[in-house]
Amino acid sequence: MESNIEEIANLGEFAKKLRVYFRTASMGISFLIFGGIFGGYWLVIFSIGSLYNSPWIFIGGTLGVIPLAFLCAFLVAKTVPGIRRERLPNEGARWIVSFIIPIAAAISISFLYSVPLFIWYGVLGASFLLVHLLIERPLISAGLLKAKPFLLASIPILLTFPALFLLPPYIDSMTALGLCLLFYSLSGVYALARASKLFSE
Amino acid sequence: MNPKRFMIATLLYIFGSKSVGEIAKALNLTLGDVDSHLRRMKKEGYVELRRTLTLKGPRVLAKLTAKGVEEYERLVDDLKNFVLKVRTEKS
Repeated sequence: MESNIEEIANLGEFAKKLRVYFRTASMGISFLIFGGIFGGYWLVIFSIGSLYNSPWIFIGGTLGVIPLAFLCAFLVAKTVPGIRRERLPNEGARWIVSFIIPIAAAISISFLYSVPLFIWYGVLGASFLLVHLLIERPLISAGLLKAKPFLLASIPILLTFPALFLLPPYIDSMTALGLCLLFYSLSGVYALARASKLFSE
Repeated sequence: MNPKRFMIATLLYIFGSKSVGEIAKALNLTLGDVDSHLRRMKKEGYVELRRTLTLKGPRVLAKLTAKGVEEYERLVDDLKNFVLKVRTEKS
């Protein structure tokens, strides 16, 4: 009887760890999937855009981001079984706010000053920092997440952003894309490593 | 504590929402068995059931409620404390 209860208690304890593992691992896999697909996508758009030198290619490319984001979300849901779970209060609004504020700020600045094409890089860094503050941190406080990939990606992006102003046009955008891919991949691997550590703690 | 209901709760606790068919397959239970346990859990407020349309047709998705998650964690902690208490008394 006692050993049966102990087994059930151990199973419950294991379930608690698995729950956090899947949430953290899903974050890591999201970074790898989103980073890989978006990085490749923008490389193609930049290449074609540079070849034909048409703004319509970049406008079309920007619109293509929406179905691509849905595709990535679908792929994450397919690869991580624990992704469908309870959400933070107003989580959808938190995601939207995290991205809308930096995008709106960049658009406002573009009306006053001429902004370079790689402004998206700074916007992404600021958005990730907001995602960390509004979503990642509450999840960590609730014990549902063990890694901070958004914070880890946002800091180097924001630190390297000013250096891009020193580079010549085109090289600056390609460097931004390369750095973004690099920081995305490192953050993804870091989240997966933190998730796997859960079972050795 | 019913062992089948505990297993269903464990599955939903780890993976989030699952359809009745997925639960039955994962735990090697019949659809009727899963259905009756889920109804009981719903009555107690531990589970919410939602009809949804998927590419494979309509499905009933089961998900632990906040009360269900809280009760699951409390039960596991109680069991751990019980085992610890028995061990301490024995020694």
